[in-house]
Amino acid sequence: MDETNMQLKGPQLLMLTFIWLVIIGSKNITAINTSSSTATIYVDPQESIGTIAQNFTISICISDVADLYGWEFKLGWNATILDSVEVSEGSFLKSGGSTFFTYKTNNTLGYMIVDCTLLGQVPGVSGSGVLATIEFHVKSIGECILDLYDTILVNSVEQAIEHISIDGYYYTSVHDIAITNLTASSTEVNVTIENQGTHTETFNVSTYYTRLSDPLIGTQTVTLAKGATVTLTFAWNPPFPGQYEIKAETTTVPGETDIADNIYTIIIQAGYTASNMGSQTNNSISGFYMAISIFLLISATILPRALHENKNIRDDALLNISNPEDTIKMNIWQYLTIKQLNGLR
Amino acid sequence: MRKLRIAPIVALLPLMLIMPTIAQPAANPTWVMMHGRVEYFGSNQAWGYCGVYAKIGEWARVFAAWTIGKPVITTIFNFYAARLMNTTVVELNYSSSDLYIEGLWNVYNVTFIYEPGQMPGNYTFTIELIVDHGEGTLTVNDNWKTFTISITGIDEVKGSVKRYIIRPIEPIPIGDICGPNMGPPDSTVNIWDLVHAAKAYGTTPGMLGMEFDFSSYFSMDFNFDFKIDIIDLTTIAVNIGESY
Repeated sequence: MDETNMQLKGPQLLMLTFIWLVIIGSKNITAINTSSSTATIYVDPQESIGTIAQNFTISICISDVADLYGWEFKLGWNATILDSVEVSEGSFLKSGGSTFFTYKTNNTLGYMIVDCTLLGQVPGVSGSGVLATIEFHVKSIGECILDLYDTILVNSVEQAIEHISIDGYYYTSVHDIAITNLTASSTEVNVTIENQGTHTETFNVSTYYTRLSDPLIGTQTVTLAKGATVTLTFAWNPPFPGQYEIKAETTTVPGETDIADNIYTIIIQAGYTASNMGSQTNNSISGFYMAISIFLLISATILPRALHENKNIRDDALLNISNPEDTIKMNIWQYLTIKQLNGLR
Repeated sequence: MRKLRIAPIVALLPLMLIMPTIAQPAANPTWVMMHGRVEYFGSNQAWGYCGVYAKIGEWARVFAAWTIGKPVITTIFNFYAARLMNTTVVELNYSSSDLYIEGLWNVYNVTFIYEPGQMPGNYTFTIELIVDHGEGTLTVNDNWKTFTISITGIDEVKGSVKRYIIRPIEPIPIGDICGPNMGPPDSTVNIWDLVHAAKAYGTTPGMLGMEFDFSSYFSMDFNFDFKIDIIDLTTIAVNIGESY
C-alpha cells in the first residue's frame, strides 16, 4: 500500500513542480525566450531598500523598444508600508519630441496609473531608457512587491508593442538581533540567537551568572545572515552548587532599535554532583545547605547550654573555666563565639 | 371670511407636495452618451458628426458639424456647426422618441483657410453665426438607430447612430474614443485614447493629415473649439483609468 502511494506521489510531485515552475517562473521564461527582441518594461532597481520615515526612488525603465509613441503602466504597492510622494516623467520619450505626461495616484489603495505620449505626427522613440521615476515615503516596516501591471506600449501608428514587464520588490531595512532561547546546565550555557533584521550582522554574545557579581562565563563573536539562527555553547563550571541566574546578552548592532530581546535571563539549579544531590531541582534540599543547617542547629543548641553550665563565669569578661573538661569539648569556633558573647556583656 | 383664506391653501396642498418631486433631480440619475454620423442636410447628402452627452432630466450637451458634399483636402474648408446652448427638455422615451432633447441652438458657418505649403501651416478661420438661440430639438428614433436635428431657420440634419450608452447612477467617463490598435472604444479611458488624440494634437478641421471623418475628429474635440489641443488631452487625462 505504501509503495503504491509512493508511485502515485512521484508523478504528482513532478506535475506540481512543473505547474509551480510555469506559474512562478513565467516572467523569466518569457524574458529568456524573447530577451533579444522583445521590449521590456521593468522596475529599477529590482530590489529597493528603505528605512522608516525616509524616502526612496525607483525608476520605471524600458529596454529594447522600437517606435514607442505612448505608454501606460499601473504600479501597485502595499499602502500600509509606502506612500507615493512624487511621480515625474523620465527622459526617454521626451527625447523624441514634445510629450503629454499624466498620472493618478491612490495612496489609500496603493496604486497609480501613469501615462505619457508624444504629440503630433512624429515618429516614436527606439532604444532603452527611463519612462518615469517615482518617489515613495516609507511609513512602516514591511516588504511588498512593486507590482507593474496593465502595461501598454503604443507605436506611432497606434498599434500595440509586444513586451514583457518585470516587477520590483521593496523591503524596509531593519537591524534586529534577538536571543530566542537560553538553556544552561552545570557545564554549559546554550544561547540561541536569531537575526530578525534584514542585514547580516556581526556582534558579541556574552553570558553571565549572578552568584558572584555577574561573573562572565564567556563572550563569542557571531556573524549572522538575515533570518539565520545560531546556538552558541559556553562552557562553565559553577563555583558552588546552588541556584544561579544565567544571563545572555548580545551587543547592540548599529541601527538596532528593538533591543529588548537582546538580553535573556533564566534561573537554574547548578553545581551539584552525584554525591551531594539527588537532582538539581528546587524540590531537593542541597547537601551544601543541609550541612550548613545542621551545623547551625548544633551550634544553637550547644552554645546556650555551655553558657548556662559556665554560670560561674565572672562578669570581668575573662574566661573563667570552672570545668576544664567542658573546655575540651568546645571547639575553637565555640570558644571564640563565647568569648565574643562575653565581650558583649 | 377666515375659511375662505385657508381654503385655497388647503386645495393647493396636494400640488405643493407634488411640485418638489417634479423639480428635484431623479433619485436614480441616468447619463446618456451618443455618437452619430450626419448623412443628410435637408435633401442634400452630408458628411459630419453629432455628439450628445446628457444627464436625463437635468442638462444636455449636443454638438454637430457637417459639410455639404464629400470633404476633400483643400486650402479652404467650410462646414456647418450646431450647438445646443440652452436645454429645456432632456428625456428618454419621450414624445415617441428614444431620446428627446429640446432647447435653444446656435448654428455657425465655419471656414478654415490654410496657407499653401507644408501642413500644418498657418491658417485663418471665420465663424459666421447663422442661427442665434433658435428653438430646436434632437430626437433619436428607430430604437436608437437614427437621429434628427430640427432647428428653426435651417434644414433638418439627419443621420445614423453609431454608438450610444445609457448608464444609471454613475456618470459616463468622457474620453473613450477608441480601443486597442485603433479599434472601437473599449469602455475604458486609457493610453489608446490619449495616443489617438495626441496624434491629432494641434490639428484643425480639414488640415492635411487629418481624416475628413468628423466622427473621428470631433469625438476628440471635447470642447468643440475646432482644435485638438491640451484641453482635449487633459479631458482624457482626468478620466484615464475610468471604465463604464
